[in-house]
Formats: sequence, structure tokens, C-alpha cells
Amino acid sequence: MSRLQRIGVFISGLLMLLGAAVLILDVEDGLMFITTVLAVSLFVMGIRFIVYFLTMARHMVGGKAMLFAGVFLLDFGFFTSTMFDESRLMIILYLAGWHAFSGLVSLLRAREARKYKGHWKLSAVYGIGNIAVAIFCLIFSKSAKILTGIYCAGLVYSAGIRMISSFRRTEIVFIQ
Amino acid sequence: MQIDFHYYATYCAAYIAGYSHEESLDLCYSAQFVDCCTKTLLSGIGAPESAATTQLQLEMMEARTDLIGLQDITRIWASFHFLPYDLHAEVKKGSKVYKDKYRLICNTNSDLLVETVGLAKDRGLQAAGLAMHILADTWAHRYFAGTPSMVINNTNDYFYELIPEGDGYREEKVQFRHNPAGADQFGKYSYINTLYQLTENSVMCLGHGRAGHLPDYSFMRYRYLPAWGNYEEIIKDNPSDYYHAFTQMIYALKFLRGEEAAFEKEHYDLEAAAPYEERITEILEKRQPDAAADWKAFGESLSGCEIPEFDIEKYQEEYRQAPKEEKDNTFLGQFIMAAMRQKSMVTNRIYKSGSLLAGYSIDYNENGFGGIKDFMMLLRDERREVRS
Repeated sequence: MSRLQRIGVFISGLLMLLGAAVLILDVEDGLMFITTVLAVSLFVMGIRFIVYFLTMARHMVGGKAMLFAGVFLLDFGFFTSTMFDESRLMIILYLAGWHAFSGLVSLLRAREARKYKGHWKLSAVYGIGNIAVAIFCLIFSKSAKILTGIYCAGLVYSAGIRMISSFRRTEIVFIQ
Repeated sequence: MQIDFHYYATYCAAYIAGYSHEESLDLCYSAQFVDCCTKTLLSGIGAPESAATTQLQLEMMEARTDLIGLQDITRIWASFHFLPYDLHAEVKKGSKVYKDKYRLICNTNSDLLVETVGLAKDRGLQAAGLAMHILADTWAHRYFAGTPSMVINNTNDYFYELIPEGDGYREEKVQFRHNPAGADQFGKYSYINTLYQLTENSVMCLGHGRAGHLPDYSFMRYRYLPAWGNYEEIIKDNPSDYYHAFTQMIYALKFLRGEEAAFEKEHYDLEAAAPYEERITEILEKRQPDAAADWKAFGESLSGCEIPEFDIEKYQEEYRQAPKEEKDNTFLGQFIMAAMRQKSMVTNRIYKSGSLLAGYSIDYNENGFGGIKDFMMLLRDERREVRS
């Protein structure tokens, strides 16, 4: 990564941490905030797809699908933004789905690492933890506080990874 | 390509090129080990993870597709399985990102292949085996790029298998399905491929994932529309390509042994393979998912010695048990060194072409050492070579 990219990644990590802190302090509006983030994310994704079509995918066989996907995501983003009052179900599905998927992948990774005599325990613990969180989301689906807390934990984790990765050495030496 | 070619066929090529049975075994072991040397395996034996030459399916699923993750994936797959053909190709369409990705498309007889084989010269059987894996894969994996990219590596519905019939070929429409636990159904022309995802950098669009294992079967012939090809179809003739790979390996190995003065592009040792052409062609054309048994029988008929099955754990204990200062001298230590050298070289060439898809490369002669500490072993190796 260039120095500028490292700074950018670090700042985005800081912003995520800030977002998590705001959410924790204002749990009541937490769900609405999360829905806003989801809606904006979908909207931005739609724009990105359209830009992707214009700069790259239009040169690809069957690239028009990217344009259609972009328009669909934009529309879906608008739709989500109208659901602030009915946002709970969407957030529950998002959180539970994401954690269950991550957990499953980690458990499979642990099994694979064990087969190759690699380090597997951390992956297994991470996988079990994620699946537990997914189940938690479903059990405590009525508690805005807990759902917001789980979302915040995910944000803090991602922010941490980002901030650490901005310090990682990535360059490779070449010796003639 | 699979173990049948990387292990058994490489043994045959090495033996025909003049290596002894034992040398050929070490060489083909190294060629096959390229498909096994994952970060998971390396961490298990306490070796530097930067030397990974491949990734497990789940390693890739877990890998982050952020900038660092993508560069790591590209370094591995472009260096060892999809050697780029022309890093300075004229691309008159698309953005810079498109151009950078287009330039990573793998093909045969590239400048990078010449460098790859040259890098293995006088550096042991492990380096030679590793180079043979890369050389062979340029034939099987041509037209795909070793970086996640939908605009380059995607395939669509237009995909037909060509089956020899009489003097020509019969065409059968290929059906792809995504089922990681399933198997290819040759009788139904139904094959497993990766999931279609609407994401440019999805690992599902790495290499030939979208075309399933078809490039890896030696008997396979097919025609399709590559995503990058502007609606011009490609006809892939694996038996012919694999035969070229085999004869080019013999030529390259003769160069590595010192029998040929130079390794040049478009050179194949057809003469050395001629006495065996019929048998080799028969193996390559036989419609079977794994030709290991046939190649093994051929190899054993060449040398009169038994070729043991590939054992992934064969040299791991030696590496684990070796004292720290001796690890580089073990079998796997030498393999790891060759892998790091290759990865460093390819990353440098991609970087110098103006692309950051494989990350930054620091020229030691100009800037001294920097970056990932694992690569310090290249410096140790360089000093050893200078001393000797």
C-alpha cells in the first residue's frame, strides 16, 4: 500500500470506531442509524456498479448485466431508505445471515487446517462464536439494545482489522 | 493441470531429458508440491507463510478481497499458475484497472517464462520442478488471468465441448453447475464451476474457476467466448497443448541440466519425445478424469523403477526437525527459497509494468531491504551464492 492508502485505510477504521461509539451512546436511534447505513451502502453500491459498467464491464462479454445490477441496487437502496420504521427485520436478517455465514466458513477452515496439521483452534473458536452471535440475534430480536450491540461489535472488529492492516508490511524485495 | 501431469508426466519429461530416476522423483515432487504449498501447510511446519504457492478453497473464501488481500492472491496465482504473457500489451479499451488486469492474462512462450526457467538454472531440483509446474500451467491455463477479475475470467452460456468423431468433432453444449461437493459428469457434459457473482474482484472469478476444471483435463477440447475477447471465440485443444507442454518441459529441463545453451521461446524437444509420441498421445486423448495411472505406467516403463505415490508429508518432518539455521538446506527449505525467488521476480515485473495488482516491489540494489521480513531469506541466499 502507498502511504496515502495506508492513511485512508486507517482513517476509515477510525470512522468505523467513531460510528460504533455513537451507536452505543444512542441506542434508541441505533436501529434507524443502521438502516440508514445499509440504505446508503446499497445506494453507493449501485453507483459503483454503474461506474464499473462504464469503465470496465462494457468491454466484457455479457457486461450489460452490471448495468442492470447497478440500477437494481440503486432502486433497492431507495426502497430500504423508506423502511426506517420497519427496519428491525432487515437488520436481524442481515446480522444473523452474516454471522452464520462467517461462522460456517471459519468452522470449515478449522476442519481443513486440522487435516493439514495447521493451527485450527482459533478458527474453530471464531466460528463457534460467530454462530452463537447469529443465534443470539434471532433469540433477542426484540431487543434494540442487543441488536445494536452486536452490530457495534462487528463494526469495532472490522475497524480493528483495518487499522492493523494499515501498518502491515506488504512490499516485496527484489534482488537482482 | 492435475497430479497426473505435474507429478507423473513431469517425472517422464525429466527422465527423457536425462535426469536419473532419483533426480526425476525429486523434481516431479517439487512440481506437484506447488499445488500443495498453502499458508495452512506452511504455518503447520513453521515455515514462512509468504512462500505459499497456492491457496485452499476455504483459504480463499476467508481471504479479504481488500487491496492487500487481492495483491496476495494475485502474487500467488500469477506467479505460479497463470504466468502473465505480456505485461506491456497495448490495450486500447477500458480504464487503467481494466488494462492492468488484461495484461495479466496467461499464455505460453512469454518473456516471463524465459525468466522463470532462467531463475531455476543452477538452483537445484526443487527450483527446476517449480519452474516446470509454471511452464506446464501456461499451456493448460492460457487465456485466463491469475487475479480475481470478472471482466477477464468470466465465461457465459456459450460453451461447447468438442468430441472426436470420425474425421471431425461432435459438439455438445456444456452445462455448468455450482456444487463444491459434486463431481464432473463426463457422460452428461455437466461440469462443476464457481458461482456467478456480480463482483469484479470475487474469488469466484479467479483463474479458470468459471470454466470449471475443463482446462485441467488433458483430453478436453472446447470452444467458448472469453469475457475479454470481444465476442471472438477461442478453441482450446488440450491434447495438443499438453503435448507441447511436455516437449517444452524436456527442452527446458535439458537447458537446466546444461545440455542446451539457452532456453528460448517456441522451442520444443519433439525429437526426444518422438519415440513415445503414440503412447503419450494415447494418454492425452483418453477420456478420463485422472490419467495418473497411465502416466505412472509410462514413467515406470521408461526408467524400469517404481514411481511412489505422491506423499504430501514426505519432507515435512525433516523441515520441522531441522535447526533454524539448517532449515534452508532441507528439501522443503530449498523449495521455499525457489518459491520466494519466483514470487519476488514476478511481483517485480508486474510492478515495473506500472500495475499495483501484485503489490509494491522494492529493488534491493537501489533501496536496500524493506517490506515483508520473510523475504530476508532471499538476501541470505544471495550472500551464500556470492560467497560460494
